[in-house]
Amino acid sequence: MIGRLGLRVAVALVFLFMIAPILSVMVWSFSGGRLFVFPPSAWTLKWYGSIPPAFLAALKVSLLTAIGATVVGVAVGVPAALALVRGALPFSRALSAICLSPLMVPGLVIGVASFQFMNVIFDVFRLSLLESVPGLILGHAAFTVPFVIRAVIAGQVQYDAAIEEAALSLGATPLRAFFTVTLPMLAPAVASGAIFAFLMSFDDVPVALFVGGGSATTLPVLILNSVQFNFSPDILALCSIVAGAIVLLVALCSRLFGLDKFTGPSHS
Amino acid sequence: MAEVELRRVSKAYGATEVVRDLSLEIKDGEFLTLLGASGSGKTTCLRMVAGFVIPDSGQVMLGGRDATRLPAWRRNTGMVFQSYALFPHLSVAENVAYGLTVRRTPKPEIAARVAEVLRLVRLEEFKDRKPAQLSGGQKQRVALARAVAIRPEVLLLDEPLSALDLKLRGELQAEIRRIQQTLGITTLFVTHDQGEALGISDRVAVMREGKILQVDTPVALYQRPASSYVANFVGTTNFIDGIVLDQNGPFRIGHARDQTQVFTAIAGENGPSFAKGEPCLLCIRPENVRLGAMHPNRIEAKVIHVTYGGQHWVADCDRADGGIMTLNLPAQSGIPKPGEVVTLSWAAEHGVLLKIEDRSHGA
Repeated sequence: MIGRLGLRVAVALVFLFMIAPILSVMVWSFSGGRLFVFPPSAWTLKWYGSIPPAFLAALKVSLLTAIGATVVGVAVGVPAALALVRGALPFSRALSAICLSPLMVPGLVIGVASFQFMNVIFDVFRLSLLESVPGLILGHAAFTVPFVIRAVIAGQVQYDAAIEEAALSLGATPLRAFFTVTLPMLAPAVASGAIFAFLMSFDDVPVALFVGGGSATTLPVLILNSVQFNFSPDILALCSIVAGAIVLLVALCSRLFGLDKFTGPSHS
Repeated sequence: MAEVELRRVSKAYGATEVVRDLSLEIKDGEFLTLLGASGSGKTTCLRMVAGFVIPDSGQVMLGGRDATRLPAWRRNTGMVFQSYALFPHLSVAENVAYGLTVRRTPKPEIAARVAEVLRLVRLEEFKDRKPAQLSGGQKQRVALARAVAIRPEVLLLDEPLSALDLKLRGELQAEIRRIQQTLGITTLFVTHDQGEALGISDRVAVMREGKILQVDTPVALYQRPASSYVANFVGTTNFIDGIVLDQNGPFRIGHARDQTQVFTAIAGENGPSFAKGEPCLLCIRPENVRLGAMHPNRIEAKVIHVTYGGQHWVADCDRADGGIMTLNLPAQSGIPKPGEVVTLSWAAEHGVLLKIEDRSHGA
């Protein structure tokens, strides 16, 4: 009995430890005092009305980048993962290790590499990607693609090839079987990969720092600069909105695609 | 409905020959079972008919047409898999309707056909459930309904009962047979379970190492196995090594070790022929062996142990020649004690005489 209670208290403490920083940001975003003391001496909503336009512009850049990087991640990652698992490719183990390797590389390295790569692209094609959303998307694709690949490879582990054969024996062409059977079955895996890809891109600082520059500043980079040079509670308000929106997004996807089934223990 | 024929098909994966120059005919409306141990090539044969395996040589005929290279989705076969292979994101009704939707069947007809086959497998009230909400037996009945909904020329069943527990297996076996008879559909069934094969089929083809050893009705297969492998794989058998002493009239067989010990056996209609002095194998089923000397073919043996099998006792006895004799005793009869030396006997018509072509009767 005591052991059970102790376990619950321990779990509660760990949970609290994990979300306390986020909660404190949310609490302070309603703080009306001049100083950050806990608990706040007064309450206000004014910070939510005074988010500077620069932050909203940065939020737009971040969202466009994250959406674009996720779309690229899914468009490239899903076929790649299918090919890696079922393509009977030569050296498929080595290939999949290479495809997943960006996940092992520090973001800073990807940032420097993206910066260099875009200079090369400019030198060769006279195409300037630096300080642009397409440039950010390309840089982020370095990790959104492997994220989707990893999720879809994992999603196929519990995948029964007979299901596709059943569709074929019922008269579906391979293309039709792919779109009506294979893809819907992989939807939870694709969704989970896409959500994480989106979050990683939205959250990224190092690549955005090198590639985004001054004219394509993402929200995390702008927040970093502001916190360093002129910290103001309206940043906390913005952070609270973003945190809330992400929780909603994950909850919604979990309902739609049954992420719990995908991430939790399988019950077939 | 249609007849199915495999004509001298072969298939190798790398250096491994899985199917070797095999021919098989399934008549229109017939229920034929491919029975064999794993690796015998039975599933490969089924997949040739389904169109998932293209034979290296030979032909696959469906309804009199050459379908050897026809892709699976243009064959009109209904397949049921061991793993059920239901579409997890679709409801029961949508699963069953899949093949009809793909064929662009008009909507009202799809609805009518789905209702009809769901009634056939007694799952009407489950039509809106998802596969995850069904039991194993229900899942397999949905898979069966889905396969027959397209009115296939051939129904292909790949170990459909192996994932189910014993009681359910018996029920579903009866269900499959009933549906097959109702629809009169040509059916190819693959299993490694001899009990299943005998219980469900019109004919059974026993496979080993990519070849068919014997195709026969279940009764003929059991009573008149054509080889020691079949005799041992289908049911339990006692073997005695012998030498043919006289092949005119009923066979007279001398024991290989002691030719003064003589047995008689009657040749089957299509049984093998033997020369005088040829070594042979005498097979006797345990249910045909009697305790006591009431039959002319007798052998002495020492009881090792007696186990209770519900309908009967099963006694294993040591013979003087080193072999083992297993016999079934009626449940209400007295049973011998272990260590007791007994006389066992059987009638001449219960001895099946086989050629010695291979000595590995391991199942």
